[in-house]
Amino acid sequence: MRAYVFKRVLGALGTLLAIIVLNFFLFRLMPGDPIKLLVRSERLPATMVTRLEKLYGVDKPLATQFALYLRNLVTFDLGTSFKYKAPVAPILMKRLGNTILLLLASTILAIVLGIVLGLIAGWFRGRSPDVSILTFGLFTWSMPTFWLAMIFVVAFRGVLPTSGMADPLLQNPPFLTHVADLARHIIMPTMVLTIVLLGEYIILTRNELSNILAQDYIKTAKAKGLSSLNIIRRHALRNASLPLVSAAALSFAFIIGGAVQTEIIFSWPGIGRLFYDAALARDYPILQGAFYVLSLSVLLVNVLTDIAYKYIDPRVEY
Amino acid sequence: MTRKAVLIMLLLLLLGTVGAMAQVREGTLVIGTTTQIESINPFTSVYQVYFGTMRWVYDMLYQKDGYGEPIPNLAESVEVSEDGLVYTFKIREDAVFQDNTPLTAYDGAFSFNYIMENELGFYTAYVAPVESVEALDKYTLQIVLNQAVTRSWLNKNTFMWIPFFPEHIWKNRTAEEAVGEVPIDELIGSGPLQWVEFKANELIRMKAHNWTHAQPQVEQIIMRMFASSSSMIEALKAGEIDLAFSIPEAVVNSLLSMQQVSVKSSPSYWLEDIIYNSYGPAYEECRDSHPHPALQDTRVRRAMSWALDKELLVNLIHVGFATPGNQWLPPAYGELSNTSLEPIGYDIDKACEILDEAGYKDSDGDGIREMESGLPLEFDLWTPNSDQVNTGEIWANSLKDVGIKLNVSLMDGGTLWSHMPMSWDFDIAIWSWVGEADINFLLSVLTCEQVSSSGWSDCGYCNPEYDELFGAQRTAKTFEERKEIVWKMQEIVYNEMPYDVLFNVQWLDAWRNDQIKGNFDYGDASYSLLNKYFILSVKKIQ
Repeated sequence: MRAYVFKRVLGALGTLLAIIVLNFFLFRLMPGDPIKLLVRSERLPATMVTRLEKLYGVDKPLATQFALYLRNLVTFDLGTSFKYKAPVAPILMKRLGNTILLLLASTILAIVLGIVLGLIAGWFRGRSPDVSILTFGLFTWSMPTFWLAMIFVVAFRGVLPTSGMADPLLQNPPFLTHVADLARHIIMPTMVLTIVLLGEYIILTRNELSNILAQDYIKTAKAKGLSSLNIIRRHALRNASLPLVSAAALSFAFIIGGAVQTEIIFSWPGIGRLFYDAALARDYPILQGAFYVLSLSVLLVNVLTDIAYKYIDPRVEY
Repeated sequence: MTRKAVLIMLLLLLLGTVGAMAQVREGTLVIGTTTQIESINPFTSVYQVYFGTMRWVYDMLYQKDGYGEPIPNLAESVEVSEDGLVYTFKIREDAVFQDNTPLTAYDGAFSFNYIMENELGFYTAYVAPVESVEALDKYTLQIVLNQAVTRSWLNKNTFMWIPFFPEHIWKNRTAEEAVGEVPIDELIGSGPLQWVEFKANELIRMKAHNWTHAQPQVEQIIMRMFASSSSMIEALKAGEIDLAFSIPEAVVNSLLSMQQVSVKSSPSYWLEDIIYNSYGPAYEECRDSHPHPALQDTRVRRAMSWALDKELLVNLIHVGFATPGNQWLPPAYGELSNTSLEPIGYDIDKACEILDEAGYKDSDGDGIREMESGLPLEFDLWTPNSDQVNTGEIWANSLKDVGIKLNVSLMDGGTLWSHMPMSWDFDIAIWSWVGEADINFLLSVLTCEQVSSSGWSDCGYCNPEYDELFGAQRTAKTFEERKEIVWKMQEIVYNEMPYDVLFNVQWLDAWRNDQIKGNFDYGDASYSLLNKYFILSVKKIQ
């Protein structure tokens, strides 16, 4: 097991190195000069171009810029944002925290509900519970996120806050009041993301379970007189969990980007929205920083997934 | 009457007087906007919405009244030398910064010189005619110009755009530090509102501050930034915000069906325009791709304009909340807008006639005209806005009847900008401009000086005659003289068509009439209901 973990971590470090190099050059391939765009968007005189190029270090040769970028990464100095005029790292961490807050609840809910509904559908495959749950899963999976978000906003207008993370009229509230206020604001975006993510887990669980329940060892378990709950819990679920773990890990990679629609509709100050705004403004430091942090997160989740795989099924080898 | 009774009466009278003098402010005004403000540093943030709030926080020599006209603010009086080069201002003695430090002429001199010496950002254009600024004493500020400039130009530019920054806070800050991160408690002015909290892309919170000219009627104002206009409108409907600034046209009817919501439309300096690549050297290079050589022919541009049904588009795209464009300066500029120019209407036959006379014929019968060289009249139209894509597609449909093929594409603003002043490799684009209180800015974008990779020009137009007139309008001695010059400039633009103005767009604001009241007659073409005097008139309905 130790050797397995070591191999996975080593592989991840190699991937990280490639990401670091790609991160620097990727955004510089985008058309448009960020400083000239900044000068135009901020109505600055032409003389500011030289000053800003010097300030943000883009006047140096590309190789020098790359060397400085590598050096700064070691100390987690992600530079200064062209638009926010502030250090990138604190901006990113705050926004990432806001997105994780949103995603954690919705992802856990989606996985738990997806598995439960998927199990029911799989157990009753071919019958009406299966048909209803499968239809529901397909429907939610194909639903556009922004559309669902708008439906929720209109439906719950006046009942729940329509946008933001906190009530701006509450200043320095007591801790419990702050938590309650946050809870009120997070309900709708969480429900939207949960519904959008749910379908995939329902269908995956249902299909895996359908295959597993057709296996001979399940027939043997039934013949031995084991209850349905025991069959699912001790035999079927563990075998069905491997693809679910993969799906959860893959989802994580797409969730951050996918949450941008929810963050825009609910004006949630998360990293998806930050990334989108930075792309439009060619804010290289934010783009590089966000890409780096997100890639690191995805890499970490993948390593943990691979380790979880080995734990669930010791036969797995790479 | 006993002495005791008299004393009690006097005490009651005194308390009553004090009570009447004390400003009664209640509640919080919450304003919604879709503009994303990343910084409130006055040297870096330039959004229209930001400038609206900046004028609530900082004072200038002049300010806008409730209708957008310049009136004295910090300038109590002014003497002008006979040659029009020296302006000596008496500064108000009762102005105080938000940290209770008195504002003096020394702060004014510092502010002007700080901007001029460091060429700080956006303000540089407004101090261009200034030679020197000096505080003669604590309350006397002298501004010496390098050339005599029209008084109205100065009132709306130099005197109305340079904030008085507190010298004691900014004097030790270098230019690089000035455009970096500045703590909010150092971003203080002398205006009626003070910034107390800022969360980028989320909110700006301002608290009321005693001011000479008028007082805020609310304790604080919060400006909330929404990532989508739909969310902002829902927040207004839910009563979470009191006022929504610049709402989309499509929602007006649904808002008007609510009794608790009122909507105001008002003229603006905002225009949408068709941009023809007018960069001469790009055509001389005879490039394979863009620009198409036929587009340098103004007859082709004019014919295309005759195939553009602006009236239809005003109703389809702007739901009637715009007017068809024609002259370069929007009608909101009053007499300075040249209304004598004959509007180009919608007439397919006229468009065909112009092209026939110019020699562009469809020689191969494929429905598309060609140049003499055989090159078909097929152009690319790029735009960063999806509404403008719809405009382009409707236009493309009409142009088929004229024998021109137009390919319409949506393109992100940064990429589009890279095709403009950096390489001038585009055919036609649709974009927009928002003018300022003075016409100078909108006129300046067509000058030769702006045709550079870091300039303002997005069409590459350069005409020495236009430039000469631009310089002359700034130094015109009377309003009539300036008007004559500016009308001539607009005629040149109309004839040569680097731009074809599509629409003059209106401001649309909405508010909860059950939550706030105020003087809704106020508002100006730059900031609409973000006008300072309107904001100061707003009261919460309890």
